[in-house]
Amino acid sequence: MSLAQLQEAIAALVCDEESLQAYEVDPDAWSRSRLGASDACLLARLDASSLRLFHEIHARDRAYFIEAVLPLTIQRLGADWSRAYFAKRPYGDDDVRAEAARFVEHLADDARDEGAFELARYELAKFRLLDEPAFEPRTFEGRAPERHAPAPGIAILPTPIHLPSLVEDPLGAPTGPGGVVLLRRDSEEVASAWIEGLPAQLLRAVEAKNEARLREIASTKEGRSALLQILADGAIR
Amino acid sequence: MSLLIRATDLPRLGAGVGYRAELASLVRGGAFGVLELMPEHVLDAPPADARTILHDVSPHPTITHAVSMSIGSAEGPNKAFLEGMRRVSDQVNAPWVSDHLCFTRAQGRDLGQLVPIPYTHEALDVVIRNVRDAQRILGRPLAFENVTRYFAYKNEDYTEPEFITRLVRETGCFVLLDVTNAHNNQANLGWDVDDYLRGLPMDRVIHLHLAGVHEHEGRVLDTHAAPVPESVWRTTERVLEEAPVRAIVIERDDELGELAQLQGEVARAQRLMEAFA
Repeated sequence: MSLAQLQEAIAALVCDEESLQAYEVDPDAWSRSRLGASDACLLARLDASSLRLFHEIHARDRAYFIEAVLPLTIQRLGADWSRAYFAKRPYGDDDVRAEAARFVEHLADDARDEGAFELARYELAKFRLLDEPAFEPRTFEGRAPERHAPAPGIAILPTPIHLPSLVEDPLGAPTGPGGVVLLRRDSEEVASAWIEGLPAQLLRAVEAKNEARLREIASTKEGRSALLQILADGAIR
Repeated sequence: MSLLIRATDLPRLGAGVGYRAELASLVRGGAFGVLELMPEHVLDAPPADARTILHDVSPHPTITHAVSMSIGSAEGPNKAFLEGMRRVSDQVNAPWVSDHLCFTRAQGRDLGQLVPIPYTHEALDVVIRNVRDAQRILGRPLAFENVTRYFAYKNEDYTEPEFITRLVRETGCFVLLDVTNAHNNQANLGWDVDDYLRGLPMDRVIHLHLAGVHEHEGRVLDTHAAPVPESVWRTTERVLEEAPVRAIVIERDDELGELAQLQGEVARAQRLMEAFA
């Protein structure tokens, strides 16, 4: 008997659709292919319909886990969104951040819906920011000027699509140009501001402290509002 | 250490609920005799949320109740998690701690479910070893809960009560009896609840769980999203006649509805504990 091998086989039936389908076709053959005689006998005599139910409970709970982090993305993807991902990665991760990050990677590879990928990046960035302390401008007063990385409590997310329209209507199409999302962890939640247009150049301008370019960005109402908020707080210097 | 501890050495806490954010105001108001705290909710939470949870529960009697120990894993329990659970249990000064008699990891992979252990000789040896490891790390009395088994192994070496009894006698751990799960296994697997209770080491049953269920395609699911059935209440009374129960927790995770209904169930459990004291 090898409990480790037996548990690995049970895990495959609980988590892996392909394994379960093979078991349903021929439990004896599937069990013998993985285990010694006595363990195979124990495994082959499980009730397949009960295993299927448990497998479905596992899939539902895993999907719920991801949806809790990426609700807008999942709304956009619609029913059956998990099928391809679970087939590719049958085993989940007990760290919800790691699991959500892997799903975002999957969306990037999938490349069929750029909107879903960008929305997922946005939601994951917001979720991760909850792990950071609330942004405190005073903390960063003495930071060295060569450090251009976002301050703790701040995330900068350049995106090629018009993200606010997708956040407003996850099922719709982006209705404007790309830009940059500025996320800031407040004491209770994560606030976001949108700066429209030329995300890469904008980010470079912020990082290089290109005042002329930043003034240009600030000529729009949204850009001015967001930049003033962030710069006045001292998040980016 | 638990070998030397009798159930009656543990404080009699009363009835309560599992901590969740929706109940925070009631918890702060001291509405429950006992709270159950999932250490995962603290360990996985953003720091500010973790502080809030600990602030809410710390003034009240709190037991830590986990799902991540994986006490039935051939590879051993999840020791990194156990270290975290110890920290949380210390912070809330838990009089005992608990998890489920199952495995949740295999070959280092998280399964995300309470997977039934095959009750074999080898599994008993593994679980005894794992429980001793967990006791060393946690440093507190440890109880294990019977789970709803959505599938059954044939030709096991032990029944569940036999397995639990041997585990308890070898390690000195306690039993968290989920009365609803015993009923679920009766409905789904044909186990007889009366036989089941007769086989358990009642002198080590210190903690009860009661919950509601849903039916799905002829099977009973342990959803924690409905009122406790009357059949479960009746069995609870029977258990209280024999077991030195120190706490009863009503499990309600979803479809909370009117909180008065949940509070009514907690009050009923409290009355039962007092009636059988």
